[in-house]
Amino acid sequence: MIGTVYRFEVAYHLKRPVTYLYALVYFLLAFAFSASDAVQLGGAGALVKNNAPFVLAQVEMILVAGGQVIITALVGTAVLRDYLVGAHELLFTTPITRAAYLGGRFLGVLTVMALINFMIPVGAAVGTLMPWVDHEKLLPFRATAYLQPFVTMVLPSVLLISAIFFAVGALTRNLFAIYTQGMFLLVAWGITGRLTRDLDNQHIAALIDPFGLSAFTELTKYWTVAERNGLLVPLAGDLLLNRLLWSLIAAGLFALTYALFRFRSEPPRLARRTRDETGAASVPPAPVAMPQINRQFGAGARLRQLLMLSRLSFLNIIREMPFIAIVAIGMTNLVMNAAYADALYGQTVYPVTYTIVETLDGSFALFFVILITIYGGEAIWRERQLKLDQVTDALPVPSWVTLLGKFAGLGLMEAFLLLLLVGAGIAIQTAKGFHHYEPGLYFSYLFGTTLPSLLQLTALAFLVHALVNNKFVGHVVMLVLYFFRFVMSNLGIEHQLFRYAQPASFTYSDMNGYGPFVPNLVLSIVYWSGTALVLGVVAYLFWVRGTGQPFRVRAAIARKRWTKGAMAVAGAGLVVAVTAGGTIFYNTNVRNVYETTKQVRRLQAAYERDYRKLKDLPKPRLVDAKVRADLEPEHRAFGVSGTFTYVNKSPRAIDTVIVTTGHPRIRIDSLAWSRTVTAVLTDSAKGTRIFRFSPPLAVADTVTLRYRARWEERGFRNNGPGTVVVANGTFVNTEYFPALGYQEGLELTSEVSRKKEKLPPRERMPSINDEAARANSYLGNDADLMSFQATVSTAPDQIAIAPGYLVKEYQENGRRVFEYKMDRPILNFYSFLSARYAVKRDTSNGVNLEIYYHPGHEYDLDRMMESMKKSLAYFSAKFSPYQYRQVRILEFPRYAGFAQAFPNTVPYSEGIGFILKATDKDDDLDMPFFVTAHEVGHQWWGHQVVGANMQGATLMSEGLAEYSALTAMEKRYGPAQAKKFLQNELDRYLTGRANETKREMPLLLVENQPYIHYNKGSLALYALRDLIGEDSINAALSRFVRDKGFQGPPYTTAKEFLGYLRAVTPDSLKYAITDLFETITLWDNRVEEATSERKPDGTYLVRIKVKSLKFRADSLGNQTEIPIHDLVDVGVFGAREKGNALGRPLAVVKRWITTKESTIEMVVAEQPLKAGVDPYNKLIDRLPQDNVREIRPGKAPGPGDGGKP
Amino acid sequence: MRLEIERLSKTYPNGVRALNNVSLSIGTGMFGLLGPNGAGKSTLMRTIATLQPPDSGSIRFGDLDVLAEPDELRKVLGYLPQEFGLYPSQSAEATLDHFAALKGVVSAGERRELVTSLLHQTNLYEPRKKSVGTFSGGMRQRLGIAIALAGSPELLIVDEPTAGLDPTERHRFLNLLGEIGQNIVVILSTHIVEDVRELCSSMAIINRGEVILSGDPETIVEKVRGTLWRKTVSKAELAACEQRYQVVSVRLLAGRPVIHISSPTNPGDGFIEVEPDLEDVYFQQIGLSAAKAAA
Repeated sequence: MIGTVYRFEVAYHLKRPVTYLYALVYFLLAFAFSASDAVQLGGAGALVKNNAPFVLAQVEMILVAGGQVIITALVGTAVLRDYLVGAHELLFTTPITRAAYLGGRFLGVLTVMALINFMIPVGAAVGTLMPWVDHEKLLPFRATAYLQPFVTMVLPSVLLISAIFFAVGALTRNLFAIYTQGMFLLVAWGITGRLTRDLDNQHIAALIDPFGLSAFTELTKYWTVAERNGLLVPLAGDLLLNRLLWSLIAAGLFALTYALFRFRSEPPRLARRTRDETGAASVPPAPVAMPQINRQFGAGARLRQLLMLSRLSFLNIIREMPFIAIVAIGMTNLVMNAAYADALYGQTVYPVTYTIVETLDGSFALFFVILITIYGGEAIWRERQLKLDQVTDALPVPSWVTLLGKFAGLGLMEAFLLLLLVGAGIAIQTAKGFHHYEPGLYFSYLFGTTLPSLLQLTALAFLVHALVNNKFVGHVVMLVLYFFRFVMSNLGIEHQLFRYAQPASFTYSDMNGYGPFVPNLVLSIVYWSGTALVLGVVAYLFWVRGTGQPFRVRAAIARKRWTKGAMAVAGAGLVVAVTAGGTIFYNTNVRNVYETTKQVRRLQAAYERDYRKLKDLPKPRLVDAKVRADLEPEHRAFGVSGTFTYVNKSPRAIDTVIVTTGHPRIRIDSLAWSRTVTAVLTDSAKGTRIFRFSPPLAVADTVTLRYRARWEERGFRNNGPGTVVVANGTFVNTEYFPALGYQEGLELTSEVSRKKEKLPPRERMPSINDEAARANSYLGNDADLMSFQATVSTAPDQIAIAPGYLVKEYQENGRRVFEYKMDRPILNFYSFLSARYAVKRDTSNGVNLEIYYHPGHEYDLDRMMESMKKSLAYFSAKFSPYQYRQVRILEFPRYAGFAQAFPNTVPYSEGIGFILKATDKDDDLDMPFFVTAHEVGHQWWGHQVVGANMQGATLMSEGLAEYSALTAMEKRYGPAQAKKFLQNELDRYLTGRANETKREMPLLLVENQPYIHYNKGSLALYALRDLIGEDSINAALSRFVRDKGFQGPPYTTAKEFLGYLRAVTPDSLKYAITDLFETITLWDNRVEEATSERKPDGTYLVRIKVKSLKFRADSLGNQTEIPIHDLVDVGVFGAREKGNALGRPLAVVKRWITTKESTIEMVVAEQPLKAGVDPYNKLIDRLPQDNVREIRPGKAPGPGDGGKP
Repeated sequence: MRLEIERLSKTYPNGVRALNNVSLSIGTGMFGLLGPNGAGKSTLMRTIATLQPPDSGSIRFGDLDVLAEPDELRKVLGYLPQEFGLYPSQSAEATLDHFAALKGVVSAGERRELVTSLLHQTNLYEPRKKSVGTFSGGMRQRLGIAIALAGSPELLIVDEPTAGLDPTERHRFLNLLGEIGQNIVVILSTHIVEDVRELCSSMAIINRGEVILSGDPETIVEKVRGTLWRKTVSKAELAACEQRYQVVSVRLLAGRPVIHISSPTNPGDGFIEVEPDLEDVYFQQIGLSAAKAAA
């Protein structure tokens, strides 16, 4: 019996064209992924190949999870189908059993689902065969790479999805539920994904992700390139548990369906709904006189009707259970996001309104898309679904009133939800104890930018549904349009005039408000509103009124509706759209040069092709810079000028010099040499000029360049307005000043882009053995230490700052002018800032400390100030004296999110430092303190010692600054904070190397790779300090500064630096220098077993069975085991105590570990609870969590149980 | 006020000729449109109700060209389609209020008065606060007619309103219609002959998209007097009779078939003349038109 039902079900689906349509969609999605660049999925990159097992597994999982939205009807209707066609009463009265009916149907749809999903691996595999696919992005074909994830990941998910959809379909028999359950599941999935960001919830999130992607990510997050390309993802650990758990849940769901399902006409109900039969009593109707009424059809009546229809349409939506459910899910998602909204780079920030409003807007965006798609369709189809359309269509209400009423209903729904969001935002701020609410910002953001875009999308949904006139197809068309909008830029359609209903992107800043984004933002909103109006009129023309109208008839009706009124409205929309769009175009393409990504790439490539050959041309070096910047924040313009004095320090006369004028769009007013020159070439597009000196510049001879240029922001570009000079918070750097010589920094760096431009692969940095590269420091290639002075003028109400000490401040022509002069040579590295600042001042040991901040951002000033004091004190005492008399921190708008150390000057983004919230709780890192200390550290590591521009340079700048800041933080807050910090560093290092796009380097050879110089840098230096002691390492650093500080060429190298470290390291520990700096070394330490035994004297003997492996990795992460001979921490911990997550340390000692397996015995005085090897994770270990284990009380294993004593 | 339908034709994209040259002239009072399922009744009703443009032909209501100015007709139209739903969560009162407003009764006071009187008239005053979703079929149907009546229509079109109603409901409903139908044009489509006989002052029978007979029921019945004959036969004879005569209807009376046949002259053979009623006329006409179509 079950076989018959099964065969019938499968045959039924195989006969339906839609089954093949689904299969085709799945095939094409996977095909598009592997055969084109438009669809980027699964974490493939420059090194991880498109058909790597890791990537394929991920792609298959993502497509299964995402595809359910499309396929929901197939399973959902397996049972409902009988009800829809009315066959249920016939069927249920046959002798078929419930088990056979449900079992056969379920197995049938399951088979069909599996077949359709099988198109994913097939599509991905076929895609790789296409002739245009770049074979360097592929590994040799390997069938198991496609099939293994299909079996382990896809099939369990298909089982689960089918079980859920089958249950919902069979038990609710509600079409709406069936069509939307996929979206629900997807959203619920998104929420679980959200949970994984919280590190502590890794296991739970891994288990509760129904598709196993979180478990997969957890399992593979530290996988190296080699592993991603080479290994099949094993079904193990949480992933195995996850798959088992959800398969069981699927089985349970089916059992539940079986238990609840009855062969009855009505779906099972939880609460009985009764039909009301009152009024059916046979009282004959009393004749009632009809009142005289007055009917109106004028404008007033239309308005009243419009209001009524809007209200009804609004109420009809918000009263629906699915709506309430979607909003509830959305709100839950939002609250969860908002709970983390103040988390920034793992840190907590104050929930200032812009962070909250951005979170609200961002996390509800998907829900708005879902709601507009569903309820746009519902609104249009509501009367037809209720079979009320013939009644309403025959009413004396013009179609435009009906349409507008429905539109307004959706608009009201959107506005209502936005109001809810404002309420939620304020509630979240309050819950976080933050009371500086900015209602104006909430409203301008959500109602000024979000609402118009939602209304525009609604108009599009109306148009699509009106034209398509089939609800399901209408939804699919909408999804296709969203998808298209999503991949558009990958297809090369980049102009903002094509991004329907997307307000121009903007960044709100506390310092500068909406700032320079306003014109583009307003124009884009007006432009799309005009366009939406035109779409709305077209929707009206094709609005279906009446029944049985083929398109021919509807076209005829549309012609009738194309009246003067309709023309006028469409015309008005068109005029608005054309005017606003034209203004946008004028800004993006006429006032500015419109460049696609491809054009920019091409120009960059041309620069390299034309001029790289001149890279080694000797050039005179800058010895003195007198610069001036005249900032006009009011007009978003500035002038720069300067007198630059160069000396020929090369051993030969120089006859030719290249001047790179940075920005190609800067207007150069004068560029004059103090000697006779011939302009050999002027290539303005690439900002390159070549001059010939006649006679050539002799050795040690001097030449002066006078330069004057002006930069003006003209309106806005396609990707928005420039943010260099803005009303409040200008930040101009040396990019606007001339530099001598070919600039390697302007080359294309992405290997993918280089390949497209047929450029050879590019070395990130010169080799550490390239002696010639020592001629230049890592900061600048046309200067060594130079003398510097700067004049800055700005608006009268602003303070402008440049490196150096303030010499003079005065008013001139209505401008406020500041003159700065540096009293000792600096690197060619400076900037100008200007804003309406408030200033906080202090001094410490004769050093002036100043923070220039935006009034209102007082939150972290004290921490920054304290950090400056503490770090200056420690660094001056241990490394070398501070070279300046002042440190200034300058806030700038969050258009960029970094802090950067210039001589005595630290620009610091409002987004990363000024709203960070550090509490005094143990486990909360004081990031304002840390970041400030890092930048102060750069005054030594960067401005006192600067490495040659070669491999390893950033170890000595970023690595040492990070280590110095860590040490300063540890001094202030104690070792627990340092440990917490290092845990984050380890995680970021391991994640960073997993996402490496070229090759991982040892620290010694780091090629400006942040995860190596910051994260591994602090780990390695901290580990070394732990081995050799703080004094030794400080001695090395201090000698290093003494010998190499304020040096000219040849600049120092990381090899020299390691020499200093090696000098203070005892021979027995020199292996650590090799492990930490010269190679990529990883450890795998774990406690296999730990037992304790109470001895007669009351002490405890703890035996720890330890497994310790040590590996060397190559640049792709291929590991080779090497023998271990390391000094490692071993510890025993007791009762929990504050500040010690592991418990009170009873004994933590360093032991030499020389074998893979060993048993360590320790005696402690108190009851031991946990034992660990490298318990504080000082070594780089991909599974740090198994280093510590609970101690099993009882008799300790004897020495004979394996392991040596 | 008369409704004049001339040479109305409509062919669906699938080739079905739903209306074929239909012409009717309908005055005030109840007009019954009788025909089997699929005869084109609903198409005709929908076409008159401005919901579906015909391929050709014209419809005039008084001086109004309905096809050219559908909006004008809608102002005087009350329409109750054959099958319809309502916003399930709305109460009867709110539903009526909503539709009254959409029909141009903008003043809230007037609307309240109108709604109250319609609720009384349709005997829905008691359950007026109940949501429509809980209503029985008859209650929903009465609410439907209340909606159709709201705004004092001059043309009322009701499409098979009694289908699915129990006898009490049906009775009540027809009484209501009868009362309204005295001063305005009411078109009632049905395949239940009784409805027409009880209510309508004039009628038409349509089949396969064509009007096959129209007039007032009494005249129509008179027309066929003398052409209908009845005989009780055995089951064995039935087939032979169906061969030989134009059988209009076969009914069982105490388990034995009673056949009615159509014949201009007395067929003899034991047939007795039948006092004609509308049902016989209906079956006869449908049978004749089917025979014509088959020929």
